[in-house]
Amino acid sequence: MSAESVAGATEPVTARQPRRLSEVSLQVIIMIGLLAVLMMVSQAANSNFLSAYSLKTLSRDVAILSLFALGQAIVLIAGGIDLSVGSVMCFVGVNAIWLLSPDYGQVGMPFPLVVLLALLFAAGVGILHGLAVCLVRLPPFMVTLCSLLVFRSLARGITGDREVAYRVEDFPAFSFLGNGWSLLFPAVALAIVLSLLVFFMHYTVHGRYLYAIGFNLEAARFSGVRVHRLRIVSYVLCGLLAGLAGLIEASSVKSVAPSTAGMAYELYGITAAVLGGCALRGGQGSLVGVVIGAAILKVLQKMIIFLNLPTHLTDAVIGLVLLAAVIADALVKRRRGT
Amino acid sequence: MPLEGGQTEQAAGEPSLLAARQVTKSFPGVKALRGVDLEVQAGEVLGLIGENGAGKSTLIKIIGGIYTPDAGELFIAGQPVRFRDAHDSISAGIAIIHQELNLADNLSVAENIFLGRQPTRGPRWLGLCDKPTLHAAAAESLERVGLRIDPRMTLAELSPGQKQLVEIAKALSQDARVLIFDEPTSSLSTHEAEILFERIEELKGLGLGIIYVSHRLGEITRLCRRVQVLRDGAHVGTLKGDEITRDKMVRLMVGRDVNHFFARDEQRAAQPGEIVLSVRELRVASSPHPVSFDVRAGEVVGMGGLVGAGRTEIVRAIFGVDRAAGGEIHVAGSPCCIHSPRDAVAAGLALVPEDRKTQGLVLELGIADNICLAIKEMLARFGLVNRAAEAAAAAQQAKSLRIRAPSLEAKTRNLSGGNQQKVVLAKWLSLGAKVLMLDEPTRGVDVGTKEEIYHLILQLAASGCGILMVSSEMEELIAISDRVLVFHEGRLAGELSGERVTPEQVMTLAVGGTAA
Repeated sequence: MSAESVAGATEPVTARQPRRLSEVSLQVIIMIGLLAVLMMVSQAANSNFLSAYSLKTLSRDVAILSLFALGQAIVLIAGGIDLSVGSVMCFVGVNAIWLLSPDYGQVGMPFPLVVLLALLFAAGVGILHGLAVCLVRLPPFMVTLCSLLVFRSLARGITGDREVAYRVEDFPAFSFLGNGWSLLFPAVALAIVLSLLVFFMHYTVHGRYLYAIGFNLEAARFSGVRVHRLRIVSYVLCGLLAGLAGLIEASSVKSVAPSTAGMAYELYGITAAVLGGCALRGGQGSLVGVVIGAAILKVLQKMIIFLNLPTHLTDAVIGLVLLAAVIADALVKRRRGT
Repeated sequence: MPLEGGQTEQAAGEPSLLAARQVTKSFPGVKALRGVDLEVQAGEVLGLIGENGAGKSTLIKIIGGIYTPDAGELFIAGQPVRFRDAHDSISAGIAIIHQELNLADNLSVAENIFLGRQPTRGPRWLGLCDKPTLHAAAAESLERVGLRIDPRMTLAELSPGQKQLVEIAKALSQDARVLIFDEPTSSLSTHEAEILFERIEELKGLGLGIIYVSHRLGEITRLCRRVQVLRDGAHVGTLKGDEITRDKMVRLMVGRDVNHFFARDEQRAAQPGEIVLSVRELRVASSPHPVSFDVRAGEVVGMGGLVGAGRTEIVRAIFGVDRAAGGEIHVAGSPCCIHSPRDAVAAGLALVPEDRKTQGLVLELGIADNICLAIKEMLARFGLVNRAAEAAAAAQQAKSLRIRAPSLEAKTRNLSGGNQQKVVLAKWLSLGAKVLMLDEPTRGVDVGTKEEIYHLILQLAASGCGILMVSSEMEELIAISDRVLVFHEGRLAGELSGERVTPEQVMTLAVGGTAA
């Protein structure tokens, strides 16, 4: 019990301590340091690592991962989880090309309509997840696990399990999503999305209530917060961001195989979110941290390629980095006695 | 600290702020409240006391809209009201400060005070936080409870006492007229409690009605001019002014004829045997007081005290569930190093835990599997489960304990509380423990089965087992125990044996008094 903050029996309780650096921002600073070290090591080993082209592709990869990791982070902050991200991305990517291009027996839908349909679908999946979790009271893990299975399988069914591809010269607008402004459009999109989400989570009451819901659902409910509505919103945001990331990814890779596209991405999203300070029990996490976490993952992957290490070791390295982060977090918490 | 605001003295004859009339509530097998009345005036602190299970919590939950009463009515300022949920109660101006606070550690103090009602700017759908207004309003609420902290601080940085004041600030900002404190000082230091009492005095001066629920009778005498006592779900008396003394309160809380409760027909072991469990200077993490006591073979030692006196923690530490901060444990004369329940079982200890559904049983498994959980390894041959031996052992236990179930394969989830408890007992009986520790062995068990469990405990003692039993039920403690250790706030407040084991003596020690 901290008695030192209590001035005396007859005095009011006072605690005008200086605001200390919050836990989250400290973590962000440590991660930026780690990121810088990784990039310097890579550059020292291979001077092409920081070349303009390499940095541009890195920015695109980081942007795509960040987009869906941010959605995952919001769901985690609100105390849920979404395992369907990879399958939703795959479904959206495959169907975008399939609808767009007349090669697959379709009329060839106009680009704006395709984008609209993709985002509507992704948001709809989020609404279904939210309703199942809030109204039917199913565990989010189960609901979104089912979506993971269903949407990948549907994507494979629609295309007859064939890879779909498009030519850049035929669909310049679609190609712009992943390759525009000399590969920098995804990063610009991320910057816009990140600003909007930071605004939402930190400057609107809805975002603050999401933090409250994730930490103590009952307290939020008893305080009159509209918990159902906000939890549904968290799943819709996650779905939308997965849809957007799916479009950009399909545009950038130009050909999508429904059996492998977006495979295990939900787990990379969770990894980035956890590196960014999200707790699986909810109520914690910083969006900027999630983007840095995503950058660390992508730099690690690239580093392994540039250092000529066997690429099948990538996941082992990522797994060990995540383990180290989780152990460090647990040790710090134990020392503080929380 | 000067307090501004409407200091309206309630004129005589005006209806009370909150009144409950003939409130009745039953749960399956228990009549929790039988026609209870309660009344709080503006500018009054009403004490609400009673033994564990007397119905205080149920009454509070009904006032807070969490339970609906089976019969009876609530009145706010003379008007009848009906609460469908907690919302209705809050909007009627009632705020409950729970023992476990309803706050979110990850948010700022201001966001906690205005959770669900945060001020916004611009269009409503956008919900743009109006931080300046929020912080100003929060600072004002904090000022009212005399908490001078920056409302932007994260709640996690506050001490338990400060968090409690934040909860009060939240209630005041909701325009609460009635504040209910449920054991508010259980997690506070003396200093912090002292500050809380001053705030309560001030709130009383502001014309709020306050209900103060506590086991700590010293706090009741200090704060309340009127005390209502519940016993067995009924309102058994009200004390006013100078009548509020520890003695009178204890007598009302206990005052019942315990002689007819359970006649112990087995002879008390005339000569208890050797010491089978010896606890020396044991310290648990939650309490600074070391505890020492012995249990002899054939003896039933009761552990009495109020909820939160630290008894469960001691039993858990002996059994190796939680790590002890210090001390020694000897079983049958030899010192034991117990780091886990597995070590404890090997040493000959057994624990029937407080929460049998999560700690005592694997609910999804059948009766036989549960009974044999601790002896599976012993019965196994070459690491393979010995089904035949298990079935035989389970059948024998089920028969001698008279476990009533369709079959030994039946899931324990579907058994009655009493039969579940018998399965837990059977698990340890099959192991032949030297010391059996029981934590609230008859909680949620019907009366008939209770008697059976008492007989079992006594039979075990007669067969030479040492019994250590935590119980918050006074009759059971007194009827079953040869000796009673009474705990008060983590400290062994006293030991009673023979003629001195009376409800009055136990209660006096349990609330921090000294035995006669």
